[in-house]
Amino acid sequence: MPRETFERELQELKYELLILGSIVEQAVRGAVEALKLRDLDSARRIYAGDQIINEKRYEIEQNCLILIATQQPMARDLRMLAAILEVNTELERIGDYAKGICKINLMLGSEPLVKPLIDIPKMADLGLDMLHRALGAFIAGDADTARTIPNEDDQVDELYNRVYNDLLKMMFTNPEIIPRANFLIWAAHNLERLADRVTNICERTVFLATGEIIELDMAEGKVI
Amino acid sequence: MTQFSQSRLDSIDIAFYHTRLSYNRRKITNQIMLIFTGILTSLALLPLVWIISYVVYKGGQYLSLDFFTQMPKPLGMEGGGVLHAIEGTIILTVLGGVIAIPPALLAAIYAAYHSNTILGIAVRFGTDVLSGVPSIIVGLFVYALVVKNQGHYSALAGGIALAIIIFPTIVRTTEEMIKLTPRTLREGSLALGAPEWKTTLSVTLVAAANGIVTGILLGLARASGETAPLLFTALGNENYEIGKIISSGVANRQGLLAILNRIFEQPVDSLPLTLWKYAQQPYPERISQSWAAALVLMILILVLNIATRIWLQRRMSRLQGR
Amino acid sequence: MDMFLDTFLLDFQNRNSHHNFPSLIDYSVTETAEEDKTKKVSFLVPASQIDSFTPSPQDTKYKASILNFSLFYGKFQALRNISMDIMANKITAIIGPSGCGKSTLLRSLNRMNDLVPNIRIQGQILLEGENIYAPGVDIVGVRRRVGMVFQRPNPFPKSIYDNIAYGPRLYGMRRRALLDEIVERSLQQAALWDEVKDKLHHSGMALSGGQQQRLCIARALAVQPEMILMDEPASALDPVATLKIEELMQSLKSEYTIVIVTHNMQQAARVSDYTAFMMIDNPQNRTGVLVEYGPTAQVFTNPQNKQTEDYVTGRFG
Repeated sequence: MPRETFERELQELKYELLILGSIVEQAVRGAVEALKLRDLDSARRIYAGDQIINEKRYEIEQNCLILIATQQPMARDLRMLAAILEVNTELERIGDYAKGICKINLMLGSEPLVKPLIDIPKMADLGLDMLHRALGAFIAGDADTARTIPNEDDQVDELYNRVYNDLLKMMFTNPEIIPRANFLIWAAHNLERLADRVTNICERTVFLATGEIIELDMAEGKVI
Repeated sequence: MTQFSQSRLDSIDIAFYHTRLSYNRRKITNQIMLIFTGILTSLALLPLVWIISYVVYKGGQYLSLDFFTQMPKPLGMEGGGVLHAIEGTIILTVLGGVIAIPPALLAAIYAAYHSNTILGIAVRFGTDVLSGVPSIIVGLFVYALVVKNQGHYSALAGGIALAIIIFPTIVRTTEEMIKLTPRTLREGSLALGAPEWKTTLSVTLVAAANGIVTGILLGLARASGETAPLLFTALGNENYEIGKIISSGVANRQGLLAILNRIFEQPVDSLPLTLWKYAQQPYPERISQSWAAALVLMILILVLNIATRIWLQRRMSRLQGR
Repeated sequence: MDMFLDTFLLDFQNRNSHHNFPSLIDYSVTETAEEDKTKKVSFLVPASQIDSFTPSPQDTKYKASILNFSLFYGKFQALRNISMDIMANKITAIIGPSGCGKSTLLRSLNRMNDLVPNIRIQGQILLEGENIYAPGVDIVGVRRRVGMVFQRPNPFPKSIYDNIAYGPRLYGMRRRALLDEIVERSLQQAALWDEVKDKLHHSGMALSGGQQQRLCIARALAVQPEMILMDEPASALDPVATLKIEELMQSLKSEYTIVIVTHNMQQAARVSDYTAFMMIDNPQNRTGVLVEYGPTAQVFTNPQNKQTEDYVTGRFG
């Protein structure tokens, strides 16, 4: 098989990216769970664990640059490495959202939630499901799947609008809870952004497979 | 801008127009030169074709199988051949080769690898001078050295004289061929830990074999056509018959060395020598035999040449797998 | 998609399907994580690779060590004070502009320079701890342990079989069965066996350029050297043949130490584990010096020396 060394190292890089994706998924899921259960210890640990995500991201970036410098990839291989750099950054940002949700949890401290969390975990589930499939499509270079995933972003946006409107209504009726409700809007916003980042990953997948750079979320205007 | 490029285009057009004119002129010049060189080449080939066809014409009239297989007959008798001279030519040439080749190869190897040492320069200079020495002088030298000391003419003396004549040819061609083999080939062997002598023997000489064999054959072909050095050494001997020497030797239960000694100790004839002697005689019979001998000599050299060419080609194709 | 990746993807899904928390990674590192924040993340030079460059003695073996080595042709000094360790079972590339003494250094490693008259050396080259330039050292032994492959393929004008058997025969091996075995093994190691097994007694010169070069590698392997020197082994070959040689080098790494000189910087980047950059110290005396030596990933992404950076970025001069 030609270019064995390069192929092997590229596979390793993809493997590393999947590990990073897995860590990020767990972090987001854990952060939302901890917020729902008001588990401050877990929140603290996930908050600190963001460092691991950052280091992993740097490691992947370095390996990617070394591979470009030493193996002179061309065409699809080059697009793959450029896309890995991009996806790598997106994953790290998603990790930051998990960190942000943990921070909200910690800032809430011992105070109770303004309402039980229902829609926010749903948003997380939807977003993470998209992320998981988007990463799978990216590694497989499956542009068709990648084109369909961003459509699901609408559901996340819908949920976000609902959370936003609900909390706004509560703030009007009871101004005392404004700071705490605001925190929850931030959390929801983070999850809404997560879905947008997934769209970016899908765009990179299409780029990787076809060489075209396209916008996949142009169909409908976004809220906010 | 457009104005400028238009004028540029014009000038390019003009340039091409001139080119087209001069193209026809160049084409005609080329054809004239081609015809001219063709005529000169034919002129150069003319003597060769002339000689060969004349010899074939004159010698072919007398040539028959008997001419190859019979000893000469006394004057005035019809028929007879030049078997003695064919045998003598082969004996003398082989003897000359056997004496000259081993020292020539060694000298060539030395000169190729130590070309800047005093001895290396001496070898090259010496062989150059030697190849320029007139062959009659080589004959005289061997006469003084061998024939005077032995007290009689012999095949051995003739062989030595021929050896001296082909020695420089073999040295120079071999040296050139060794120098032409890529340096990396030697390095490949040395890098495996082979000593230099082993490398030379089993890599360099093998790689240069084609050129070396060609050089040797050129030398032998030249030797087989030499007359002058044999006048004072091999002399000529119309009664020389290897078959008889060997059969009488075997009958008398002589050893191989004794038989060889008897072969080499007698004066011997060769084709050019016979040709030269017959051509001087006033008998038409001998004159025609002389022409026929010339043709036989030519055929001998031609066969030698073609045989080696075939051998070399086989070797090359084996090496290159085609 | 790769099998390995498939299984991993499956695993990846399984691990994420159960929503138990805590999860894949252990987040119970609260205290140390705080310290981690202050830890500087070194960019582009992975700590792991730097560690492997200055390894603890039990981890990595030096196959050869060049110690303060200088070389003179008559009055001309070709190399000055070169010191570098060559790692066992790794590929070390020597790069640098023409005339910087890369090949001279390479040829010093198996004493091929001894063929040049008026040569003089200072310093030492240790092969497994023994100075190959010490008085009384057997050059034949050195060359047996350190094989060499040249720029142009140089098969002997012999059959493929005899080409490979040349080395073993030199060392007195005559048994046909053993020679057969060596020939087959060497050709297999050089990834040439399948192409030539039916024509072992054809001439080695009938092969294509790339095959000839692999034949030369097989010939070097036949005497079971410890180290193989390659002097621009692919510079006379087309890209496909070059790729084959490069892959071959990777597969030979596990058993041999390889040192390669190449003009082709990209090739050095692709194949080598360590890279040495050499240059002439100044245009007047044209003496070759070692400028930088380090892990290939470092030399090509973050060289420590300005001259190295200029060379690998093509801004040399």
